[in-house]
Amino acid sequence: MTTHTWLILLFFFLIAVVIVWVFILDYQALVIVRERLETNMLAAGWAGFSSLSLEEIATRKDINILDMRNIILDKIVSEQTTRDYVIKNLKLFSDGRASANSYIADKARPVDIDVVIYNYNDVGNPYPYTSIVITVRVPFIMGPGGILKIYGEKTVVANYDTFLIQSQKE
Amino acid sequence: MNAHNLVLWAIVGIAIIAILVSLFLYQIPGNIKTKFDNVCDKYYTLLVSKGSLTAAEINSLNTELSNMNLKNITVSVTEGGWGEEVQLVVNANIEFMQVFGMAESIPTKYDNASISLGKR
Repeated sequence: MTTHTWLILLFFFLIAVVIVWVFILDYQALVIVRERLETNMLAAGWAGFSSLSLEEIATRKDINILDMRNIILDKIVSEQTTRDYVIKNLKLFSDGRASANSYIADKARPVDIDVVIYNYNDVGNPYPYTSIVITVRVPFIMGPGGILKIYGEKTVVANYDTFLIQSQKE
Repeated sequence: MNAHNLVLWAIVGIAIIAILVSLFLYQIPGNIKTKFDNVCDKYYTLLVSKGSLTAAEINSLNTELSNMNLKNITVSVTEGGWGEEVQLVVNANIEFMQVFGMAESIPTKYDNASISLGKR
């Protein structure tokens, strides 16, 4: 093969390398977005913990029993507060679409937010404490020219354990 | 191979290495960003649990970020008592070397708000 043929092959090889690398960088960006989502969602979860059900807490008779010291949340208020802070921290419009200040690159498709509140004494609570489970589905664009449009799902659990883990990060 | 082809291949070789190294180096800010968020998270949970950060804690946050070679660090804290909004905003520049020693600076931001679970 002549030098020119080799150069043409090399040119296409380099284009292929760049395209693959764009996907790799986009994947890395997706991983970073997932990390940032976790931070923002947990912060929203802590906000939800401010909505105590004082009426229910007041009905407790024996505070010497360890379980009786658990937090009881007002589920309706707590869910709304958590949802409001997910929207605030991710810098979304009320319809779920990302604003210009948001790090979510896809501004056209909305973010889906799901919040479930478990009080410690709820039947079916999979956690040992009162917990707020937040799931978001975030639109993401990948590849050259945003050729691939996907949704990434992230779930975090805000409770006593995750608060301890976050406070001890290195 | 004549001299003309040799020069051509040398240029192509340098270009390939430059592109590959450049693409590799672009991964560095992503790793620093994750560490930056982790450090900020630690102080953010303090803020949520106490409602405020002391001057020593803010200094400590600044020092940790400076040790990661971050530049132009600014920290803004909104304090609040129980049930009030708290917010931590940290701006910084991630600086790293590109190919041929070119310095790159990418701004990064940590911005988190919540409701205080501690007294101020």
